[in-house]
Amino acid sequence: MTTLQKAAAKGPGGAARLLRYLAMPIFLGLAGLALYLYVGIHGLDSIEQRSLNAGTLIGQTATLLKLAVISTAIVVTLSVTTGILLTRPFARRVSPFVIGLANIGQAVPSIGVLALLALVWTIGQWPCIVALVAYSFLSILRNTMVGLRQVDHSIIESARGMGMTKMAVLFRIELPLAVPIILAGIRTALIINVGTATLGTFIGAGGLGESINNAISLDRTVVLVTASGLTAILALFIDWLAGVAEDILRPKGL
Amino acid sequence: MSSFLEYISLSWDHVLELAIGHAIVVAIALVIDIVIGVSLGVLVYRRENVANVALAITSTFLTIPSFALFGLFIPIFGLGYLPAVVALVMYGLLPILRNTVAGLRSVDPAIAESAQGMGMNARERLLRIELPLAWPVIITGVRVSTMLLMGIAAIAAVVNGPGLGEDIFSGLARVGSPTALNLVIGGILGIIVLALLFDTFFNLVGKLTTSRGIRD
Amino acid sequence: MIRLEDLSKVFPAQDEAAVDDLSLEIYEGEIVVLVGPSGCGKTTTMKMINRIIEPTSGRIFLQGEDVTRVNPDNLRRRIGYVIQQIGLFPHLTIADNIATVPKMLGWDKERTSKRVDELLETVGIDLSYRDRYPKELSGGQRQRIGVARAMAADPPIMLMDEPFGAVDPITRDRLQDEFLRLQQEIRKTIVFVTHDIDEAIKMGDRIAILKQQSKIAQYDTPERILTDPADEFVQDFIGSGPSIKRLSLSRISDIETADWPVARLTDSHDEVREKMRSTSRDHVLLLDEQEKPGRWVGKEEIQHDDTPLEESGRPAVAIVEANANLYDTLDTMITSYKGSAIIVDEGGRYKGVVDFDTVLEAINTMRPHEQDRHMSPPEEEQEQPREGTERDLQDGGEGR
Repeated sequence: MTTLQKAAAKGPGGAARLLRYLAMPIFLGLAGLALYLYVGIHGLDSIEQRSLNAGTLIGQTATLLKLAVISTAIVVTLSVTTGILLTRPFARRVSPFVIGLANIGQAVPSIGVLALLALVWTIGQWPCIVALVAYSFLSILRNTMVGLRQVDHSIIESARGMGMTKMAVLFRIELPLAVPIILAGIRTALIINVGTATLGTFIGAGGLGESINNAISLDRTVVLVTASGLTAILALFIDWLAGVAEDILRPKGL
Repeated sequence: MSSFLEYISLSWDHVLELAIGHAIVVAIALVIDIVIGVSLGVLVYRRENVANVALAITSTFLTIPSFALFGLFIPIFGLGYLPAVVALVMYGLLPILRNTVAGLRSVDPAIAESAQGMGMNARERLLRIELPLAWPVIITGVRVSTMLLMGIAAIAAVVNGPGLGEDIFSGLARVGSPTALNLVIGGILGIIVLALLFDTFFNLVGKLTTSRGIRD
Repeated sequence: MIRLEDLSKVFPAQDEAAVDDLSLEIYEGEIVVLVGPSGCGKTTTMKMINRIIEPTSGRIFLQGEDVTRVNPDNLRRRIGYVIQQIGLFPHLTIADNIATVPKMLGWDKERTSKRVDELLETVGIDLSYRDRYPKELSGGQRQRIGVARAMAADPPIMLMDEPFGAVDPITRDRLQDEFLRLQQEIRKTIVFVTHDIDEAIKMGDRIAILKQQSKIAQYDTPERILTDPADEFVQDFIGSGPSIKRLSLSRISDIETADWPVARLTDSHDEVREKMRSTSRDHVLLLDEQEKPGRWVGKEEIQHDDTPLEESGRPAVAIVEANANLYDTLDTMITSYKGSAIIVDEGGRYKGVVDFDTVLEAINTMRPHEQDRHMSPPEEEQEQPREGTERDLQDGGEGR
């Protein structure tokens, strides 16, 4: 049974939990409806129609998702691997430095990384993906390291005491225990990358940001509100989805 | 490299001007965030349900892509300082609120009880015992918000807001021209330098305002 | 001084009352110990006196005034409060910690500062600790500061919840002794909660043994509880060896000392031998120039003059202070060489010697009462005079 089904089966208390799960999608659904009505009431001129039609919007959404998902997959793989390496004893000296770097790294503007890559390499979707990876790497790395460190040392000690090799401890104890952290990292990376990917339009990567940008330059409020609203709804929806997945996929007992 | 140094020596006043604008808008947002975040934290930390709602709402802000939020604000607030500040305030709220709540909740119950047992009323306990003890955690939250806002403030340029984002977008618009890279690097470095300055400042303030008895 | 009237507390999540209809009266200047098994409600009861926990029903009177509904913050400023985890404010200096209540009451700086110094001296902490922080102090030191802080505004009443619980037994013993000495001077009304019956016997002028829901099993002086437990519960709670525990309530100074010969290390061998001849004992105690016990020397060991006195015999080590109790004295004597203990005053100077014979005699004066208890029904026993108790009452509790 999924967590949702279990929650529903639990009766009144479960109903409250179920309600909490559904609060966000209901809110998003209402927001989407509001946008739809807004567009319907306002009516669209020819310029606006070019942006606000199903085909364009769906295409842009798909692009955005593609950029975000690919870069998330890459960055999670990279940062988990690096995180594991940096939490090994031989890297003990380096890790505080890395964490400090990650803290400052949060201040680097996403648009700056995108711009750098566009100028140094080229414009388009691949530079955008690389920029997304570069931008979110340090945050996810830090979260992974903190999470791995939190694995109770006494658990590791008793495992070594039973004769497990270091590799075995890593794969059979630390990683399984770190799954919640990794899941949280995936969720965070996804959100960061969706956010940054909307700026991808500035380096020719397409995506919903393009409609927003067009609306700003052409001064079309309807398109602006709708495109921005849709982007926000999309991001919140993905976050909600990732949250549910996190709850379902979390190993029992943790 | 040499062209960048040349660029800086020629345009440092322009970069400085943008940097000051950047710093001001972030600072304004931070001040508002500290006031709202700490007050809200103080109000809700004892009530778990209300606190959870507040935390959920503020974390929703962070989930919305900054470009989309700035975009949404144009019809409401227009262009310039106002949409930038409002958006930044929304983004910077969560770390401060979350740390205020966590910090206040982390005060050892034995300490709170002995304060109550001595006849301190709730207000005195909050001001003289709980907030000072939660302070280091709150300061950490402020620092996190600062880093966040430094980066996000660069997007303010899309709403004609102040700050170094302007140079970054300018550089982007001139792909191919020699000055483009300098503009972008100048913008990024400027933000990093500002971030380091602000962080050092809050670090110092934190150390100075934290009692020696709880500094470790 | 403190009167609890039909006090009850029911916690919302529980079916049974934590405290059920408790009525208790505490006189001025006495230490009353609330003791009982975990969960009996003793801490809840104590916390209702300063209304950290608000009673569900019943009334609380302090010095005749009904304080059940007055402003609790004001109330608490008149009551000293010491809890087990102490709860010192880590971000304030020791001086600021102690000055907390005086500051709230609006004392001026000079008066507060003088009071802080006074209290530091009273609890035995060096004045140089004023500007240190709690994290720099040991557990025992923190406990003392906790007590000092509670006494800062000189409240007439103090509530103490396992105040010496968080330290090691040696420190706890010392803190208990010092606190008792302090109480002799300041004479506050103290409500003391502990789960340790031995601590209760040591500290309490009266002890309330509480059962579940804070029902009183027995409320009396430690002596009467030990010699006359009200029911099986009390008996079980006192535990084994109540008679031996009873010994801890008697002072060694109440006993007549034995007749042992005493000489000086500075005497000549002849003088010592002279002393030895005049007694039936086979050992002489040699004192040093400060009148402190030095060595025990046996008859055979000073037959010849070759060994100097300082090296003859063996050093005197079984030493107790005059205010020690019989229990501790017996303990020392069991491991001593001659089954005897030397009594000294605060300066360490010789006062006398007790041995098993003298102690046995003292115990024998208590025993008639014990034997009677096992033979005759309770009512008859009440009429017999009890030397021990009478003497305690006469001294006004000075012995402890």
